[in-house]
Amino acid sequence: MRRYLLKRMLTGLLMVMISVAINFVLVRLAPGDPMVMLAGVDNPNPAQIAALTEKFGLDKSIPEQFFIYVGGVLRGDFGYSYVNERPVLALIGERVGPTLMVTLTALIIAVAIGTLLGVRCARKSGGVFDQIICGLSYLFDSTPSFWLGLMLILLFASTLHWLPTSGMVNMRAGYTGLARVGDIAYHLVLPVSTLALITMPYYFRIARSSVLQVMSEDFITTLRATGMSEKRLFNKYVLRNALIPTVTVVGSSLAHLIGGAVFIETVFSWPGMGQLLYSSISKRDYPLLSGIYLIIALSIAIMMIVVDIVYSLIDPRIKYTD
Amino acid sequence: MKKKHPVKAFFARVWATMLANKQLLVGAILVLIMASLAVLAPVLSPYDPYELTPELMKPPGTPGSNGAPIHWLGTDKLGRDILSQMLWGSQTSLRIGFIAASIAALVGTLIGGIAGYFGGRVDKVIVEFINIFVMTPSFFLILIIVAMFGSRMIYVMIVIGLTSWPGNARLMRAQAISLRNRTFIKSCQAMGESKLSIMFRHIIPNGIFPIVANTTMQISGAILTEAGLSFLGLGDPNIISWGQMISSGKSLLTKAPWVAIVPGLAVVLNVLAFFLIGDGLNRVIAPKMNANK
Repeated sequence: MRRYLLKRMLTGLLMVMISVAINFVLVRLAPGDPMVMLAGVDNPNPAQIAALTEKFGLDKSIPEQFFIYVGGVLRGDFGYSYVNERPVLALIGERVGPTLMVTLTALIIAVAIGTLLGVRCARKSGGVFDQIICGLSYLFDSTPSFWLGLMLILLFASTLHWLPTSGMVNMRAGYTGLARVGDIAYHLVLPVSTLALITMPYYFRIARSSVLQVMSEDFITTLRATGMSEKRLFNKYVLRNALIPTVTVVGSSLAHLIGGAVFIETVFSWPGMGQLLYSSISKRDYPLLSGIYLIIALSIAIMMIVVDIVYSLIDPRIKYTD
Repeated sequence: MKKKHPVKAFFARVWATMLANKQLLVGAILVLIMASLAVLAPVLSPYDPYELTPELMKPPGTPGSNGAPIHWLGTDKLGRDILSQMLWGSQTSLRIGFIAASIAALVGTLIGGIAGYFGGRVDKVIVEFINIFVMTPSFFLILIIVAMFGSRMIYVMIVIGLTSWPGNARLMRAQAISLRNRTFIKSCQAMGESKLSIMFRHIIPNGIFPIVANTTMQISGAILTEAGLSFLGLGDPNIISWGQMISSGKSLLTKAPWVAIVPGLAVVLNVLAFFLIGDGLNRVIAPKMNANK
């Protein structure tokens, strides 16, 4: 167990290191001289360029630059956004909250409803309800998140006027305290629904197929032969075994979910990391772009390890020997 | 009993499988329709997709001026005919899907085949490499690369392809491991056939089916990724793409909703079609999981 976790941590660490390396190489391979951009004028004078080049250490050799960069990252220095004239980490720090709010709420809803539906459909597989939900799951799996978001805006905001079209708070009202919380929740409905709807099919399918699989196993048949009631059998033995795969994929779906957040935040003008990423792309703000990438790589690595630990706690059969 | 011609027998079997497998049948019909529309785009399009007609933001069914054809799906902000753009855009979608997924299939099969068949230290290193690769947030990598190096369609295809191979590699590795102990492989080894030759002539051809199923699914993924990139403004500006059409429809949502609705529906149908085929093929491979009945 201990050895396994150590191994996983090593993999995570390697992943982060490779991400750092890829990032470093990409930023330096990208066309265009950042110093010319930084100088900010069409025809910068050479002395200014030289001064800036020295200031940002670009006159040093590539390996030297790499170690300086890694050293910076280790000390929490993810670079400086020339466009925003602020450190990358500070910019990201402001945006993490709203993104987590949307993604985690959507994740919880998607896991809960998806799993419930999956279990329900598996118990009565082949029925009308099962067929309808399975069909819907295919449909939402094939729908681009940004388009679904636009359609929900069109229906619930532009046509029915039930919900706001975009943003996180009503700027004009300027609510404080509890009213502000309510306002944010009100603005949260559409983005969270969109993200939850496109994430749900994933959890639905996993729950459904793992319940079906557990139900076909020999020990269930044996228990049934002992005359145990179906209800008890299902709640005590089937469900517990069937929910294990769901836990494992929560970790690996995180990358996917954050990717989805980029679109959701763009569509709904939600002031989170996705929107920051989008604006860093359109402004060609490379340090910010690679900073965001690194933060995401890091959080995924941490999440994976957490999931591994949770996984080993809920399933006593698992002993990570190799 | 008279034996059927092998080719005929093959098609008869394919047909029987399709009839027994709803997903496969529906998906195949959808793909067939899309592919024919894409191929026939130059003939079917009533307008040149870039032509700026005098009808701006007109709803579906508006007749063209001076006896020009009807705009069956309306026009966009610049007066371009949406139906014609849709037809040409389907070529983009299919091309990106196929090429990106093929790259992923090729790379994944090779890496997985080598890991599984050669085994030992090679396998250990490759497995660790795959583990790391699976963890990296590939969508962001695609975003960064395309944002920095430009959005020519060929880059988009290659980048999507090179970031989505690990699934295939895992499948092929498992196939190679189970195949390498089979008698026919052992006899090839006994006859002195080289390892590489065995891998290419026996292991890969015999183990390719799950990769075909997975590749079909990845066509869906690639189409979605391309649409997403185009929506974020990172698509190739020199081609017509459904993602770009949705993006341009975003600001017209209340005035001309069809500009965004139509291409979005097309993306859904296209992705759904390949998804259904991939899922259907997976059910053919593992009939036990066929919970449809």
